[in-house]
Amino acid sequence: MEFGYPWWLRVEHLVNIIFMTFLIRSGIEILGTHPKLYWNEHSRPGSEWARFTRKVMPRDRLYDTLDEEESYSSIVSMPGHKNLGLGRHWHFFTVIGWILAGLVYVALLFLTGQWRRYVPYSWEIFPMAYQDVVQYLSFELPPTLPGQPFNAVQKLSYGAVIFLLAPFQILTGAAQSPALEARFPWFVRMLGGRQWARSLHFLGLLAFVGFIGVHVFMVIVHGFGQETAKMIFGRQTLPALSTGITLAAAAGLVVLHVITTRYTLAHPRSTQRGLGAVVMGVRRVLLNPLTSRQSYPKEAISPEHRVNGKPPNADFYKIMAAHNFAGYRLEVGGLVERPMSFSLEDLRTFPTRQTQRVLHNCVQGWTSIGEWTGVPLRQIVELVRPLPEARYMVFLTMQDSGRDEPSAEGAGQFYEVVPLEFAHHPQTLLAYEMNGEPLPIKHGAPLRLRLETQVGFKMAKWIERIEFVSDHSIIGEGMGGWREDNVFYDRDVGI
Amino acid sequence: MRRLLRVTGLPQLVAFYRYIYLNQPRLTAAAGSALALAFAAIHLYELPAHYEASPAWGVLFGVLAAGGLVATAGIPAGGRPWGWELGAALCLLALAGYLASRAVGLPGLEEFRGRWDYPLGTLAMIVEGLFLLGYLFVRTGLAVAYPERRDWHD
Repeated sequence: MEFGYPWWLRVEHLVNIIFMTFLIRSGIEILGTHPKLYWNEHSRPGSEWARFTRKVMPRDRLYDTLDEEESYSSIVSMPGHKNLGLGRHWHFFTVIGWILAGLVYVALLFLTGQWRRYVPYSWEIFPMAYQDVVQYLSFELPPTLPGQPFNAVQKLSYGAVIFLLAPFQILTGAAQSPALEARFPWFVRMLGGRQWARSLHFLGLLAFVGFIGVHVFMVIVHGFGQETAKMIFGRQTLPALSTGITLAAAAGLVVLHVITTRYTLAHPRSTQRGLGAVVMGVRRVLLNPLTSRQSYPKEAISPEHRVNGKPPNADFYKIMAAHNFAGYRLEVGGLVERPMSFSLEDLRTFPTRQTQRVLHNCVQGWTSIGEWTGVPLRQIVELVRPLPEARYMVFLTMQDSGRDEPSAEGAGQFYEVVPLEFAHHPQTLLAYEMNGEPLPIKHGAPLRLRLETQVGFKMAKWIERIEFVSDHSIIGEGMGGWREDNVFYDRDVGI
Repeated sequence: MRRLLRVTGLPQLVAFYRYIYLNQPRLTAAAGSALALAFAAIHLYELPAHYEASPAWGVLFGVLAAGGLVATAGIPAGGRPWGWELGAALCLLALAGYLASRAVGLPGLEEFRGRWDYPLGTLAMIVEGLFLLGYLFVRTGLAVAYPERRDWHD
């Protein structure tokens, strides 16, 4: 067959460049929020195999993982300057586009027979590839395979990137979704664990960056004008013009990045709303219905659980803590038939006491395995009987971010909004114990939420009230939680 | 110039290396040893041909091969990174010699002048370049090699 460079292949190549560059930069932004990589599920401090930070945490006082965040330049990260929420929006928005474009590309490859340009169908390609490598090392250009557009090394390289590296990145990225991990724990174990997936995803990023560097270098070696003409005109023609168009397109790509980065930093809310509308829609369909089915063995429990968020620094809380939270009341109200109030003792002596050993996924990327004991939230919901119009639960906490987290980018009472459907998940828990002991203050005493299909920040700590509402748009900034309001995180965070 | 650098973001890009710290001492040492071994093997393979050209070159290639073997063993063994330093010195010497022999020619090796189309020579340059990169990583603290280890608490 005549391979050539059909128009759809050229368009896909261009689209791929745009998506890939956004994915790389936004991926670095996400990495920067917990700039450490591990080969163990516990993210044990000091056990990282790589770190991308110059910060050293103090030994003599409590620090939390927000203190570990790095602020990278916009040159390397999207949008840069410690903006995890916005980086996540860009990463997930572009990955949706990248995967869709990739699916169309692969479908067209197979429908048109063009797959033969990338997929080897004879073992002879390997000795031929060896010969090609020898020729490259001799500073000579190997000939293309008979009737094909590439030489053996090119064919193997492109085939590996399209059919191995790209799926590898998708799989290792998906394995970092708490919803997928919770529903299919075997999938994450297959990759070696959650932190293995994160580390492998990073190595995949390096492989892509390495491939792009070598690819561009080889295009130059093979003849920049001739090679780029194939991707512009579909054949080797007008090398000077194609060189000019390629350089202009490269400049255009840089301009696109500069404009989107500046817009994102200047208008974070509209970026959050715009990109979030797409991302949330996909998550609602793919991730929200997944329920947790985790049960780790006791010996898998992490020796140490990192701290995220600082406890309430208020007299009423300290006095309550000094009395083992004897005066604590959990108020449950809003759009319910029977508003109720529970003491900690009421919750501890609840007819159902549920214990679960699960993987905790922080939005920043670190994980640990813990055992949590408490009351299944669905039982509280059954008691208070939400009205038909109730769609969300608002978890109001005793933490005041302005008071308790002076370095936080925002102030006011910490709260998180959770769709009511999550209350019916079997492992959604109001936890009062951790690892067989009363819940420690630093992890949310006296009561915290466990929502195993979501990332950690949704699991409100130091809870004082649960409010059932029909709409959350008038609460705070209306984005669905304190972090959504103040640092532009996304609301339903199954990944 | 300073303004141009600032606009392009090049200084930030280069300075980013200071944010990278690897903690794979065994892998780093294994990679260093493997490269030093490859260096030794290539020079051992090349020894007869160069001895034929001139016994002095043959002896030098023998020294390079033996030095490569010593560096291979020295990288994981040494308390000080002398294995790395020996390997780096040999790589620099071999790289400079190869480039000089191809670019301007060397006494006794005139026939190699302009002969860039020699795959094993290119491979040797790649091996030497990678070893020097690894040495740079270890020297700058970007990576640590066994028996050194990181003492991170967090």
